[in-house]
Amino acid sequence: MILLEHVSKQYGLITALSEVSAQIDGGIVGLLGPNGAGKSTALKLVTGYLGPSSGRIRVLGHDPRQTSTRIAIGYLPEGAPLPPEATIREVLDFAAQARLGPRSDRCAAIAQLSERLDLGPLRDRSTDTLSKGQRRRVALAAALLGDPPVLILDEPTDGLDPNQRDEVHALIRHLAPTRTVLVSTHILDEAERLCDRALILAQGRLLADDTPTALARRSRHHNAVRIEFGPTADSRSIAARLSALPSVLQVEAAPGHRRLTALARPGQRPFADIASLAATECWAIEGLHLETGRLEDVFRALTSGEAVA
Amino acid sequence: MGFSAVLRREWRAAFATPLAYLFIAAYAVLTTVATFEFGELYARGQADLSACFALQPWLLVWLAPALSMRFWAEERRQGTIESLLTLPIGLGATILAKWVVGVALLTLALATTTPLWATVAYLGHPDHGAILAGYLGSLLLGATLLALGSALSAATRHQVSAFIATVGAGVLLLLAGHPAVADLLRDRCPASWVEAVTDLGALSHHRALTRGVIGLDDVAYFFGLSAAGLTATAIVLLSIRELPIVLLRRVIRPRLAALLLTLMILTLSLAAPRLLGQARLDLTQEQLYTLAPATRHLIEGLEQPITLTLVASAQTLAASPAYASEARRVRELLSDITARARDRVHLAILDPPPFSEDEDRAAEAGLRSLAVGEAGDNLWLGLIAESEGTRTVIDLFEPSQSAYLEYRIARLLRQVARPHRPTVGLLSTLAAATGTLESTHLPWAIEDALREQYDIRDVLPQATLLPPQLDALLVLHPKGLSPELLRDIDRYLTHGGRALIAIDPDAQFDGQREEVGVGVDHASTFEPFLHAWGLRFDPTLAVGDLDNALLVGAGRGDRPVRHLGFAGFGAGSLATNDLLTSGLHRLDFATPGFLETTPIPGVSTVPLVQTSTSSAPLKVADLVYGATPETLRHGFRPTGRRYVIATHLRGRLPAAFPENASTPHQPANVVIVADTDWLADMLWIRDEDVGGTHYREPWANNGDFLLNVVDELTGGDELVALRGREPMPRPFARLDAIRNHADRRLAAQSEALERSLADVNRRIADLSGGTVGGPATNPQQRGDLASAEVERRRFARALRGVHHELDREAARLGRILYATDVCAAPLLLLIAALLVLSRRRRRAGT
Repeated sequence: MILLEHVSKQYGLITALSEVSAQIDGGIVGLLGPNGAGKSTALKLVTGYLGPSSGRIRVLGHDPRQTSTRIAIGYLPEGAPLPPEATIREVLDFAAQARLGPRSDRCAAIAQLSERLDLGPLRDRSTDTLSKGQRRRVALAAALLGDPPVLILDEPTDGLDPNQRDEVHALIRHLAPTRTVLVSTHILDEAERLCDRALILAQGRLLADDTPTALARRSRHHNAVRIEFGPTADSRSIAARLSALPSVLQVEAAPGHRRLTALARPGQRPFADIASLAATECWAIEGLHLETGRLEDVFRALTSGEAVA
Repeated sequence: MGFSAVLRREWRAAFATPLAYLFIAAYAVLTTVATFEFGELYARGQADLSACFALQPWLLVWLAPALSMRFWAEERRQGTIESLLTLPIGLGATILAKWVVGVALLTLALATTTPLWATVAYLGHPDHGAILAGYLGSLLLGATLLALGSALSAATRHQVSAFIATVGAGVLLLLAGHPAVADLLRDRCPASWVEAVTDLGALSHHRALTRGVIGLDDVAYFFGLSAAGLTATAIVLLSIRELPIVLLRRVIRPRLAALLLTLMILTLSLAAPRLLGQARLDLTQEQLYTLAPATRHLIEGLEQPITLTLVASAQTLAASPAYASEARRVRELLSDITARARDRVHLAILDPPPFSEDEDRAAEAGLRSLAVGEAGDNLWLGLIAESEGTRTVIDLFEPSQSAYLEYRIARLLRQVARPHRPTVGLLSTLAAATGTLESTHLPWAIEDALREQYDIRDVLPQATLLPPQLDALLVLHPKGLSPELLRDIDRYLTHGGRALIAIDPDAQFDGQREEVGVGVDHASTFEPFLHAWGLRFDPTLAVGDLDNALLVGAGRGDRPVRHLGFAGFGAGSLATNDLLTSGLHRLDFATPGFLETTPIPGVSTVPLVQTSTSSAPLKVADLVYGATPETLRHGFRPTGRRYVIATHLRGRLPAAFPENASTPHQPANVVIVADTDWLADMLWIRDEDVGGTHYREPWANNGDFLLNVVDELTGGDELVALRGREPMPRPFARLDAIRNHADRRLAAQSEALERSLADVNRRIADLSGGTVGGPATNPQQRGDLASAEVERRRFARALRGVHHELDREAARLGRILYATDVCAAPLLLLIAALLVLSRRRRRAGT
C-alpha cells in the first residue's frame, strides 16, 4: 500500500531523509526515532504535503501529491491542529465535504464517527475550548471521514494522559484490521504495545525495520534472567556464582535494589541453569524472571551508533 | 467538490471573529467621511460619487491587505495548513476559494458605502450607470490587491508581515504610473522600461472604469494581475513541496518567486491592453463614450478618404497621467471612428522621438508640444487630418477639454472633408475689424484666425442685402446700418440664421473714436431686434463688478489699482453648461454693458457670462469723462444682482420687422455680447519678440471664445447636436429646492434689512463729510455718528442672521444625511456581529 524507494528529502543544505526504502502492506506500522530523526518529514512525504528531493513514493500505487490519491489517505498532523474559531461540527463538516462531496450523506458519516469517538455531546463546542485529548479525537475523526484505507498519524498520543493514551490505542487497534496505519512516536512502550512493525529512523536514515518483538530480540537483555532476592541474601556471592555459569555473559546489579540481572551469552538460555543453581544453593530468592528483550536497548544502541546483534 | 467546501469554511472563518466586522466598519466610516470631507460632496454640489471613487484606491490599499493577510499566514500559524493541503482538494481550488471569499468580503465592504449612493440619489439625479461602473472598477482593483495579498500571505509566516508587504506592494502598484516615479526612472532606466512601469500603474485603469465605461482592456488588466497573484500564490505553496530545483531552493527561492511574480504581472498587465481590442460597455446615462448618432452620421457621409495621424509621444505621455488618460480616450475614439468609417478613414500613429525630424514635422503641421519633466522633454498629443491636399489639426488634446473630445474630432473631420470653408459674413464698424474701414491699427489676432478658417465676406453698414448663403453672420458694433440691411438680417435670422452680435455702451475701438468730445456717441445697440427677442440693453449704462475688476496700471510707477471699467471673468461667471464657455478659464471685457432678458416662448436662453453679486450699473458718462479708478469706486453700491454680459439664444426668434412675422420661422442660433472691446488684442493677448521671433501669448480666452462661437454657428446640425454630449450637470436639486423655498420665504425680510443697512451707510457717509472715515466736526455729529454705527452693526448682524437662516434647512438635511451615512453601515455590521457571535456562543455553550 505504501512504498518508499530510495527516498531522500533535503531542506536546503540539511538532509532530513536519506535513501529511505520501505514497503508497508498493512497493519500498524510504527515510525520510531528521536526528535529530528525525520519521522514527521517521512509522514508528510507519504501524505503528499511534501515532495521528495529524490526517490519515489507511492500510496496504493499512485503519487500521493495527486489529489485523487489523497482521498485514500487520512492524516492526523502532529499536535492535531484545528482552526480555533470553528466548532467541532464545522470542522467535521468541512472534512466530510472535502472527502465525501457536497451531495453525500455527510450527517450520517459524521454522526457515526462522533459516536465512535464520543464526540456527540461536544459537537457545537468551539475547538479552542477542548482538552488535548478531545482535540486529538476531533482531528482523528476528521482524518477518518470517508473511511480512507491509509491512515497517517503523527505523534497521536503526544501530551495525552495514560487514560487518554489507552483510548487512542484502543481506537487505532480497532481501525487497524481494515487499514494500513502508519504512526510516528518516540514512546517505545507505545510502539511495542501498539505496532505490528517498527521502522527506526535516526538522522534521516532507516536503521531497522522489523516487528517490535524481533527488534527486542536484538537486545542484550534477550533471554536475560532477572533475580530478586530477600534482605538476608548475599548479593556479591550470588553474582559471583552466576558469573561462573557458562551460559551467563555478564551479571548486572541494580545499585540500591535487591536485584541482579544475568545476561545470556548469544544463543544460550541460562534460565534453567540459574533456577537449578538457586535451588541447590538455597538462595533466599523472591523472584526469578526470564526477559524476552528490551526495544529501548535496541533503539538506544541504534540511534547512538552502537553495534546491535 | 473541494472548492465549495473551502468556500464555506473560509466564509465561516471570516465572520468567526470580530476582525472582519471591524475592518469593514472602519472602511465604511473612512470612505463616507473622506467623501464628505476630502471629496467635499456638498461643496461640489454634484450628485455623483466621483469623489468617493477617486479615494477608493487609497482606501482599498489598506482594506484588501487586511482581508488577505490571514489567507495563508494564519493557516501556517495555526498549523492547519497541513490538514488543508493534504485533503483531496486541488491546490488551485483552495487558492481560488480563499480569494473568492476575499472578493465577497470586499463586495460587502463596498456595499456598506451604498448609503452614499442613496444620498446622492435622494438629493439629485445621479448617473446610476456611471456609479455602477465605479463600484465595479473599485471591486476589480480590490480583487487584484487581494490576489497580490494572497501571494504575499503565502510567502510570509505572520499576518502582520503579510499586511505590511501587501500594503507596500499595493502602494507601488498605484504609484507606478505617477509622474514622480517616471521622472525617477527616466534617468536610470531605458525608455521602454519606464513605459512598462508606468503602464503597470493601476490608477489609470481604475480611473478609466470609474468614468462609467467598462473597457475590456481594463477588465483584462485587473484579471491578468489577479491571475498573476493567484499563480504566484500557487508557486509559493508548491515550493513547500519542492520543485526540481532542489539544491538552489533555499538560496534563491524568495528571489525566484519574486522574479516569477514580477514577470507574470508585467507580461499579463502589459499584454492585455495591447492584445485586446477597444471593446467596451458604456454605462453612462448619456452614452458619453459611445459614438453619438451625429458623429456616426457625419462619418457615414464622408465622401473622400481622410488620413488621420495621431501624434502621441508615448514616453512623455507616460510621465503625465492626465495627458496619458486623455491619449487613451483619443485612441479609443479614433479607433471607434476608423472601425465605423471602414476604408474612408485611415489612422496612423506617430510617436516622435525627442529632437527627431518627426518632431519637426509635427511642429510644422501646427501641433503644439508641452515641456514636461525636469529635462523639459516635449509632450505631443495632437491630431493631423488630411484629405486631398487639405490639412487641419487639433494642436493639443487638453485634458481640460476632455468633455468635448468627440465634438472636436467631429469638427476636425468635417473641416477636412468639406470641399469649401464655411462662409461668414462680417459686418463691423470697429476700427480694425475689416479692411473696408480706414484703420490705423495692425489687424487683430482674432481677425487673422477668422480669415484663416473661414471664407469671410465683408458686409458694409450701408449695404442693402447680406451676401447669399452665409453659414454665419458676425455683427460687431452695429451702427448706421441701412434699413434695408436690417430687414435682410431679420429675414436671415427668421430663416434659421446664425449670428454673433456684439454691441457696446462704449466701444474703445469705435470707428469714430478719433472724434472725442461731448455728443460723440461710441455706443451701439441692435434694435429693433433686441426688443423683439425679449432683451433690454441700455447703451448709457455699463456694469462694474468689484469682485472681477481688473488691475490697471496707474502710471508713473504707482501700484496697479482695480478699475471698475474693466472686468476679467473666470470660474463662477462663465457658464459651465454651455460648450461656448465651459472650457474657458477667463474672459476680459472693457466697459461692458448688460442685458436684461424676458423669457420668450420657444426660445432657450443661456447666460454665458454673468457678473458677481458685487456689481452695479455705472453711467457710461461717468466712465468716459475724467473717471479714475478711485472716483469710480467711491459711492459704488453693489446691488447684489448678477448682470448678464453675454447670452446665447436658441429657438424660433420672433421677427423684428412686421413683414417677416408671417414667414415660417426656423430655429435660429444667436449669441449676443454686450461689449465689443473683448475682441481687441489689448484685452487678451500680448505680442512678444524673442530673439527676433514674433510670438503672441494669450492671457485670456477671448480668442477661443470667438472661435468657439463661430465654430458652433457654422458647425451644422451634426456638430450642434454633439453639444449634448457634454457631461450633464447634476446639481443637488433637493437642496436647491429647499434653499429656494427659504429664499422666497425670507426675501422680503432680507430686502428690508438691506435697505435699512444701505440707509445707515449713507447716513454714516454724510456724517463723515462725504468720505468714509472722515472726521465729524462737532459733538452732536460725533454722537449721531456713533449711534449710526451701532445701528449699522445691528442691521448687519440681523442680515447675517437672515442669510444664515436661508441655508439652515439645507444644512440641517445635509448634516442628517452625513450622520446617517457614517453610522448606518457600522450599526448594521455591529448588529450582525452581535447576532452571529451570540449564536455561536450559545451553540458552544460557553
